[in-house]
Amino acid sequence: MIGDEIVPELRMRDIALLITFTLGFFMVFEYFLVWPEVNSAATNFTRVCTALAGLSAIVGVGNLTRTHSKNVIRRGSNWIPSMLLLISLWIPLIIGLFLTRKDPTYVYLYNNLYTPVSQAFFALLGFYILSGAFRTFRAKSTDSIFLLITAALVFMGNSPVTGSIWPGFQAIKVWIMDNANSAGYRGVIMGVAIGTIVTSLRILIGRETGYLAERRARAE
Amino acid sequence: MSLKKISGLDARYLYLILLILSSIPILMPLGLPLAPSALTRSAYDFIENLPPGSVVILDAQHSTGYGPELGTQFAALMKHLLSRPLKVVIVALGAEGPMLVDMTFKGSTLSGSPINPDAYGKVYGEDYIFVGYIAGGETAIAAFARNSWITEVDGEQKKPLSEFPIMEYCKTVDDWSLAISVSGGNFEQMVAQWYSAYGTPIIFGAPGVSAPRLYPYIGAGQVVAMLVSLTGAAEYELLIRKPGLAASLMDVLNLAQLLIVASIVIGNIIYFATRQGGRA
Repeated sequence: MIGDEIVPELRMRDIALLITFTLGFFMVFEYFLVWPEVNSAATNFTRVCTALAGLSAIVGVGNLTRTHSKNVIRRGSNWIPSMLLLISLWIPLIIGLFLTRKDPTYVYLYNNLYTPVSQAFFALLGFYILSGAFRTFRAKSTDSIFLLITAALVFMGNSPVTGSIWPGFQAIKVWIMDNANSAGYRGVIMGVAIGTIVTSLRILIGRETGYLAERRARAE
Repeated sequence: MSLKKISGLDARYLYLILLILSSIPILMPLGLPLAPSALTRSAYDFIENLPPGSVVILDAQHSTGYGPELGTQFAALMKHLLSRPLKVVIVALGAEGPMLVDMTFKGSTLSGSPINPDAYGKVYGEDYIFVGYIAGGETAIAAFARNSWITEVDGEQKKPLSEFPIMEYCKTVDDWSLAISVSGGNFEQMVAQWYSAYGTPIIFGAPGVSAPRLYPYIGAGQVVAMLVSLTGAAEYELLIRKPGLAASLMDVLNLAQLLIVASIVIGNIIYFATRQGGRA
């Protein structure tokens, strides 16, 4: 039809891009406006976004359940960890959903299973740092000598007891953090900020479409 | 034992040394000295100087994985806020926040002894409130600033926020005198959404691994101050004159840090000695 040639068919992809462009630029420009109706609309929009963020958990849980259920049913590779994942996902979820976080069973599971396990994982870092400090933190080059001396000084400054041995350790640590560390991080922060602005603009104008997951959809 | 043998020492012996050294202060507290740092004192002074009736946001964005490192910071800040004539609005911008708030009030291995607001003469809904969890990361951070009633109901009694007098003083970010966030990360998002957009003073509670990221913001005046790691929590406990879990764990941290420094030094002495020996 002639109409189809003039007005191309509006695909789902185009609708998604149009929504991103319109709402994205609306939120950007709203920041610079003092216009109660517009500001109120933007506030309501952020409320919708937080609700959507909550709902997105359903997608995550659904995907995890689907993938790992298939693996368990097929007795695929690592099906036992998959089953454990499903159990540890669904039992607290059901208890939390129907009995709330105040329920003694939920609190018991959280305090006596989740908390010790997650703390233990983090605490393991201490052992790895010690092993790394003894085995690999070596002054092999000029760069590594600087890094090593700086790290040792920051460690000494961080340890409160060294401050009573010689207050200079803490003064040196503060100087390193305020000057050398801040200077380095400022560069990183500026780079990230510029990168974020560029990426955001590319998303808004439809040049960056990774969030549409088109490639993955095509692969499936 | 030759130096080469020591340099090739099984890592498990090192782990054992750390385990023994960490256990000593738990069994026999050493009482090693501790003095508040300038950063911790800045945070304390800022809260001390807030006018009565000021609204302070206390965000639980940390997770149990950080253990007492952040749990004790949250508890110490909570105790200080409750001891002052302030309006404290607690929010969870992290998924584990509601459980961690409960654990802080009831007492836990993460936060120390229980906190009883009644002992401070504080009434729920009038002097302090927990507004619940808001999902969405940076969107939630921005949304809570625009509309502090976004959860509609509180996180403790599940009643409409309109039923709590404290919420009349806290409708948007314009009402906040200070925002405190105890978090493992996401600092940049809060600086952008709360300070850059509205000029809200912010104090952070940060783990040791993330704290270096915050120094540029403090230097630029975008962040008031921060508590760093367990040390920051212990220093804060001393400042509010309520030594708790963090102060009691400081001996462990001190010895562990000294052991790491000693390991670096010994490791390098062995490295140079064996290298020179090899050359000879």
